[in-house]
Amino acid sequence: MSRILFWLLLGLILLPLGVVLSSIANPDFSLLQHLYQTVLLDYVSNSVLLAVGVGVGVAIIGASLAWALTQYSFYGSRLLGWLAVLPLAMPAYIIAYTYTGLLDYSGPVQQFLRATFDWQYGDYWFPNVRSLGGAIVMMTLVLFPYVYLLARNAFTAQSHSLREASASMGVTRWHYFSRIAWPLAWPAIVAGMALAMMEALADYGTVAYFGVSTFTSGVFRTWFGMGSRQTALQLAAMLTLIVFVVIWLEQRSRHKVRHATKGNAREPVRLTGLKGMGMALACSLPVFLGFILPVIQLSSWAVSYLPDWSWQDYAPLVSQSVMLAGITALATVLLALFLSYTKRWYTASIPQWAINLASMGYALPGIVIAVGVLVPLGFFDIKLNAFTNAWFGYQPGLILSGTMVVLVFAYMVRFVAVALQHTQTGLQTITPNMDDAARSLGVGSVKATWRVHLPIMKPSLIAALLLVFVDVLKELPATLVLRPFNVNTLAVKAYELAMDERLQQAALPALSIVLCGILPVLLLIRQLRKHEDKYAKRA
Amino acid sequence: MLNVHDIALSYGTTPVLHSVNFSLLQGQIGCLLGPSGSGKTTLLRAIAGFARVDSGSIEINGQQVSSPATTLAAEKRGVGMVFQDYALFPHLTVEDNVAFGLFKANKVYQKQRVDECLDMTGLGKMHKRYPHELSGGQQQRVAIARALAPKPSLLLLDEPFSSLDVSLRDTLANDIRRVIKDEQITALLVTHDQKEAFAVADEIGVFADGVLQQWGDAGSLYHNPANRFVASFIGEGALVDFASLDKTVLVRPEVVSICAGGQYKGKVVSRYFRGDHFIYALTVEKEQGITLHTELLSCKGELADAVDVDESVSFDVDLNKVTVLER
Repeated sequence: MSRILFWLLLGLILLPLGVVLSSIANPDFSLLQHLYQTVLLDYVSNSVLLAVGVGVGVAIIGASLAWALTQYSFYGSRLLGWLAVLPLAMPAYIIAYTYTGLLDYSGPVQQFLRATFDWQYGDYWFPNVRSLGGAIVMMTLVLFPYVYLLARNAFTAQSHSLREASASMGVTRWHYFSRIAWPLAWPAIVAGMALAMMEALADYGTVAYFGVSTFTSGVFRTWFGMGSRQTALQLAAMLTLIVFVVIWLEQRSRHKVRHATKGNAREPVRLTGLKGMGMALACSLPVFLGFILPVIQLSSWAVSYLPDWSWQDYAPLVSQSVMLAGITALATVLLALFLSYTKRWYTASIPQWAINLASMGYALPGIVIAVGVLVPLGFFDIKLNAFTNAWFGYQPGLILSGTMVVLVFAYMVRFVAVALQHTQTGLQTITPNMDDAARSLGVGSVKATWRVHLPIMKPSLIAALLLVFVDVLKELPATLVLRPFNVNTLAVKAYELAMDERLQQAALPALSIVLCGILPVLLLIRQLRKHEDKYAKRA
Repeated sequence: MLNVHDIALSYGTTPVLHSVNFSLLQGQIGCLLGPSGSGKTTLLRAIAGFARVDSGSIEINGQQVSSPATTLAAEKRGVGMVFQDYALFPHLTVEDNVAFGLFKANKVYQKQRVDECLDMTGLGKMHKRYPHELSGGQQQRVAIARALAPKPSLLLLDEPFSSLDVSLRDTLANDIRRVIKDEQITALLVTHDQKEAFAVADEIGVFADGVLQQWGDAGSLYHNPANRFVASFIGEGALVDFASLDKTVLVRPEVVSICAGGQYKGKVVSRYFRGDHFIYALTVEKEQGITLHTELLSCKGELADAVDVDESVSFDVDLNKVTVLER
């Protein structure tokens, strides 16, 4: 019974992806021809350039930061090691409009330049933030922690004995880095790059705000601007194929990540004086630009605009966001629990790829999921209304596609992977023998659920709830597309206000999102510290 | 106390156990000894109630608990089990782990019994520790204390020493035997290590390929192996065909003696120092009416009469002390 439900739910989770991909099966050639002649090349080149640019950027910043912070110790290096993760709390579309406010013609930086040098408009060249290059920089600033974390893990896992062994063979420090440390860490760096590239391809808020034509903004425009579903589906399918390439890259590198040779952790080299200060400055730059500066700017805007924010405007935003995120988090974690437990009970008949497939949604751009969800549910609603109209002369309306149901469903498809990861690892800590041990001590399986499973799973469940909750709060594209009339979230409001150039007004909801986003980052830091302490203890 | 009667069991279409019979008396410690994959752990799980039987029956204290028709749930059997990986609950302290199976008793008794079990296993001061703060040997003791706490009528131990340092095994094996005997519990242990089996058990069953090859005490297994498998699995020794007997016999190292003018000729290949004696490995010359099933014959020698490696020697076999196996 629960196995049947397992496969049904899996099918439901995969439905949006199936809908999008199946649009490839019946290509509309005249449409493709038209796309090709007009916007397609732009979409392809911009999306690919964006992804590659972000990939290269995060690899350089993330890997060098990881190397510096694991190999050297200097003033503040320990603290910096964890602060460097903070930019993950900053959604790209928020940092994008913050920097636009800072660096635009009317922003404080250019004003300062003009006042200092007595320049006028056109007297000087200043890079335009609102460009593809700008988008790459913005996303790099918030996504580099992906590479940083994986590379840091790879570097710390390399044991001291490796360095000693190579030293005993007369290998110099540089040689060690290029011949041993770097090749060993490379797969981890590529995996981190791929994760950042997936995020870049999925981004809608930044590119839309900057007016850069990519697949995501293209899907949005064709669907809502031109009302062409078929075209939007085809574009979404093409984007999905590009994402698949990146997923493949990520999976391939994951398999190559070599797991820790055991042994002593390396003692970092102590840097003092000028060298140490320079290093501290250089290493704090990414987190300063990717988190601290934007937060300061947002805070100052928020404070300056605070008197004009009425509680009546802000409270419903918060309550709707929290309600939506709360419902979704609960539903998603329940779904993940069900899938993980069914897999545990029927290990033999449920293969691991089923769980992996269920996790696919996380790699898919929100806009793709939105389109893939809307088509079948809208179809269902129309058929249902036709049916009830014919038989009962009554139309229930768009009960799925026009309500929160569609939104929660789309969120679940996208974020069930996050929950699954935690329920799966939580369940792994309960060995089958523990179940048997409980039984042999006279405790049946129902009681054992309360006395053994729940307490052991509790941290994983809390983590899963929190992560899904915050992910939903931050989510923009799917929410924009699928939200029912009159439903506004913090993310949507911040985005809309920013699009209207009311940056100061947008700061309060944006800052709220960033502050919530810090919670899961703190959780992540705590887990990593535990993990690294374990290493240190073993050594 | 424990009666295993004609058990057969299979996983899917793969048969794992074939008509296994044995029984233990109240207070006896039994041991299932065999190489890995021989089905001994499966048998243990069937007795605990985690696996069904295809035929035969299991009785504990005169009550039938397993038959093809019915399997009494594990939680209702009153059988304690110590798992190979200990399966301690990581979220509970030592005392809460031990008290886990005492949920039906009142708090006062729970506390008293937990103290008793922890004292018995030498964990008197570990009440508030968590499993991950303990060494492997201590975790093992907690697992035993936890299994003993509800006073099970039967205690099952699955490879209880396999994840411990060799140096710890001997002391723990002794301690476990003492604790089990003190509590007057019937116990059944599974191991692949004959030293453990000999150290702990009163009765030993040798397992191979899902078949109980022989059931008996250590002495009878060593001196009267029922078949070739038991002969070669237990102790050192070689299977040898003697033309004079027209039989295959098991020759233990202690019945072979190197001596001048011995009946057979061979050559020393290696010599192991064993404290109060040497063990030699010999190759045996052909055409003397003696054929080895293995390449080498081991032989025990006094320290005083040391023979060097590569030396040719002559030796005798005391045919009165060999074990004759059917051809």
